[in-house]
Amino acid sequence: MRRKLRAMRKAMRKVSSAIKTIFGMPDYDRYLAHWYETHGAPGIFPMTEREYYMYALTERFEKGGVTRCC
Amino acid sequence: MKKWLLSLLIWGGIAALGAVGFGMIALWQGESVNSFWLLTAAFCTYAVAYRFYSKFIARKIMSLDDNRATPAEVNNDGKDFVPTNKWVLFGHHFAAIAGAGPLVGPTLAAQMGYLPGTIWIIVGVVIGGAVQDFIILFGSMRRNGKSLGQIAKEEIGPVGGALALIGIIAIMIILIAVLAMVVVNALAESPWATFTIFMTLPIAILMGLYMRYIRPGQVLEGSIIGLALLFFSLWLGQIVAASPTWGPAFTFSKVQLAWMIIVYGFIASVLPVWLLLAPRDYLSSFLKVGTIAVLAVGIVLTLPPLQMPALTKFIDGTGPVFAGNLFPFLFITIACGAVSGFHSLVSSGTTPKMIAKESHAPLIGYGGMLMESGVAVMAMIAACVLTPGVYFAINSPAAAIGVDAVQVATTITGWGYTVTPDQLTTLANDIQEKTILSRTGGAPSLAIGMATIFSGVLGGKALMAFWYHFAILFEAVFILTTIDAGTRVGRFMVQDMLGNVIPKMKEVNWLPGNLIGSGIITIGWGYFLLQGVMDPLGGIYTLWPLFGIANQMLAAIAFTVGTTIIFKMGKAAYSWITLVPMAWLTTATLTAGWQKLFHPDPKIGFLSHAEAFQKALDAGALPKGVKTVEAAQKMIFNDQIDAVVCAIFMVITIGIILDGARVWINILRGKHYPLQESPYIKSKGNVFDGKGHHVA
Repeated sequence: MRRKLRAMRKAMRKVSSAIKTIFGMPDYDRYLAHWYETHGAPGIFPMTEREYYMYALTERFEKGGVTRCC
Repeated sequence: MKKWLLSLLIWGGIAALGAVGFGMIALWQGESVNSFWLLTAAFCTYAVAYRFYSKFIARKIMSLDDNRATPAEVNNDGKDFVPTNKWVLFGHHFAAIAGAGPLVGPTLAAQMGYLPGTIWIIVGVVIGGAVQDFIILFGSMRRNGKSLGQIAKEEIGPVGGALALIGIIAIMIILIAVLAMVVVNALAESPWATFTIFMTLPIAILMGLYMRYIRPGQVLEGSIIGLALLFFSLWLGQIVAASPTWGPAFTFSKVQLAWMIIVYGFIASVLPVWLLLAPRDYLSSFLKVGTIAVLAVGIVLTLPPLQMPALTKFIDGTGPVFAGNLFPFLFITIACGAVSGFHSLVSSGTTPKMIAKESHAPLIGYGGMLMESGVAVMAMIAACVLTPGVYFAINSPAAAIGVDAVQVATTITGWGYTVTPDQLTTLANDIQEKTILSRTGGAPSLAIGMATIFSGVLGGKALMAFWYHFAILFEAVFILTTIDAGTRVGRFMVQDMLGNVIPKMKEVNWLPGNLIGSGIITIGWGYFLLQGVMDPLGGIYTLWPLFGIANQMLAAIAFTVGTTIIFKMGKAAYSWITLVPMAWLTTATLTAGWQKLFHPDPKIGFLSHAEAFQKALDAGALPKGVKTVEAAQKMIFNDQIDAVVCAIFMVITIGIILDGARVWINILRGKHYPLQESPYIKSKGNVFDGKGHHVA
């Protein structure tokens, strides 16, 4: 039962991650996973969810790139 | 059976079926052709083109190599550069390129009948649009995800790069103006639609606060709440519109709405993005995909017959929706869906930074555009399920058909498309609008077409008004987000340019700089919007061709960049792949530009229109549809501005092609130009383990 639940949660996370990527929404899980794989070290911390959210919005909308079409 | 034989049979069968589809839509003599044949012709052609042409381009020019690391792998930072699953990225790319454009263009082009537009959408995408998106995606992917402007500068030269930049700012301004015009025409005198759109502002702000403070970063939760509120206000809008006090309070004229949008656009573009832009962008993205999906399901389930003939008499250029002959004006009226220069900005935007393997590029670049073309075909079907009489009543300016149902019905029946006043008022009642007459801009017409199709699937006539306002809601929300985002993009470009003179302007967080930048862009598009609102011909008639010219100019720039890349790669023998669509587009765009400038018919040429007005004023009379001398003088001035803008587009197009041709000829003469690709880095194989090379 617990195993099934965990599998389901994993699948849900995959779906929500796909939706976020398709619509260009910030994906904190993805950022965290990457951060722990490459930057993680004792004494330093990743951005909090809110910090990352604000950072990602600025990256997407306030850098002057064209993200959409007519 | 041998594998190659099976493949031959299957692909031969698909090709044959597509040919039958084309035969049916072109030669059908009966009452009305079924939309099934349009879909068959389109999707069989797409399948064959994708299987053979995109592979041909990939093999002969690009030599896509999965052992070569993509920017996503090399720079993997978990934020911008992220190796992404092929199908998810396909969705991302499609969501970025598809918008209101592929829905509006075909709707306008339906005035010439369904056939010319459909053929251009299908053939144009296979030979032009999909090739453009694909090759720019490829170019950007091999250059660390650089933008079109940067690639133009590095591969062609500083002149070409500067021209591309000016072109991009100019197209932004015209694009925003024409899309705002579409919204104004859809909301004017419609309290239901106006109320629903007004409600999107508090809803988006609420979402913004929720996603920042209450549940930070929970974008999906926020979006679900926002969508629920949006549907609630769509339902509430009906009650508001029917109320004797609230109904009139949400009824605005075109001029009022235009000013509101201008003020809104300016304020929205300097507000923090988390508050309004981002949450509404999510809402509009979900609505967009939802609308397209529902449209597709509706069409496939009902397979409606087309009421519009294959060709109307307006292929001679006298049509009321837009002026000018089939060549060149059809080819600039439908840009998105066939070839859209704007896509080159998106293809060199976020997508190339997320592509995991080079071999994914054909699906995403070429295939993504084929899918948008499919949306355009569906928009064409939605426009053509209306009887031609109704179609022309919605899409013709009042100056051409008059203002009351009886007069309109007489005029349009006189053109040979029978319609009764009763039909027009009944339809207006069905969708609970005051009128459907002269609602130009494509959105109302499309919404009525979609409502007709949807109500055949679900709800019948009872839900028709709901479906209509749902479709209008989608278009308006989408366009308002584009106005906001586009003004912002324009602001960055202006700040960047002015920053060369006043260094402080380059600081993106400097409020005075932001206000000046946004102000310049807003005044730019606001001017064209007001001009369109005051135009007795209804704005779209004048502005849409200008937008089409701008968009195809950008496509010509993209093809010049693509051709230059091909030449520099030493593949000159295959340069026809981009040169053929470029030659066609340049011919169509420059001819259209020339006619817009110098055509003796005042309906087509800006200058002859100004001259005709001046002559009328000199004779002491007022031109038709104009109320005061000042208004007439203002319109003469507007004509001159339009002429100048049109001329600028033509000069940019010619300039950049000449600059590119200089490089091509030098290469043919044996001169060597280095290709500015990023250095080859070997891929480590599995790119999805999150680690990456991480050199950035």
